[in-house]
Amino acid sequence: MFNVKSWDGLKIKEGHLSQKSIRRMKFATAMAAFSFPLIIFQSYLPDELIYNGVSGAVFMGVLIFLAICFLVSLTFVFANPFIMRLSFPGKYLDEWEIQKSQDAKSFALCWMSVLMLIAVFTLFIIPDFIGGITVKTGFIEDIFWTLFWLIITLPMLHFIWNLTPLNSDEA
Amino acid sequence: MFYIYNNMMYNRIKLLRTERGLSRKELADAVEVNFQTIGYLERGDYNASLELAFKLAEYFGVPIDVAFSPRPFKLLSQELAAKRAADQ
Repeated sequence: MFNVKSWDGLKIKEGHLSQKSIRRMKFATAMAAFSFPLIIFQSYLPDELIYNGVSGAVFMGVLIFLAICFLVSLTFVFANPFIMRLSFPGKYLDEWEIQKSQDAKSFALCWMSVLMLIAVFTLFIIPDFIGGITVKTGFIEDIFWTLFWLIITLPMLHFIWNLTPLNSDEA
Repeated sequence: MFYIYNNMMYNRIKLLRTERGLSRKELADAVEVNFQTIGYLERGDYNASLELAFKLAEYFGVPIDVAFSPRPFKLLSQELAAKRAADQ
């Protein structure tokens, strides 16, 4: 029977906790977390900034670069045993991992509550009091997808950015 | 007076482990945690649960207050010198 505890691919090895590896993971999680909202919200930039001669070409280049960064960092992040372990039930983790996982999820919950409140106020409550505010079609869906993406990536960001390198020479 | 400094427990895990010539991995396997838990515990970045503290003390065959303390430990050389002075 498949045993997640003993599967070597999901075990954290000493190499994963080196300074270089942690720096790489920090960069990849940050890219994965922030490039998606950037890609989504580029369509809300004023039209005169986009598709306008040279600046339009530069803009498209940046967009393609962001999309590639997003896909590469996403693959890297989800292939990482640290991140995989965040989604494991507690019975497969040891006490340090459980504590880190809970800290990361609490951090994400706090920020999601704040972001949800801001989203609800700006999208539904404020427009009710101030007339004449209209949002672009699909804006609410975009906000929803961004928040959904942040639910997944905020715990990862917290987990990785709070990791300190553990050198093997300390062993 | 009992006082927890900075909400942190001090430990002698690294000393006890190196004394016995164990690697982090070996000790971690013996007390059923991952090696990084031992690493962060030794460094003082993580406070062990009561269960793990007892497991470690039992593994090393020492009373729990020899391995863990809410106050910083004295240097072993100082403790030995103090003990020798008290014996004389």
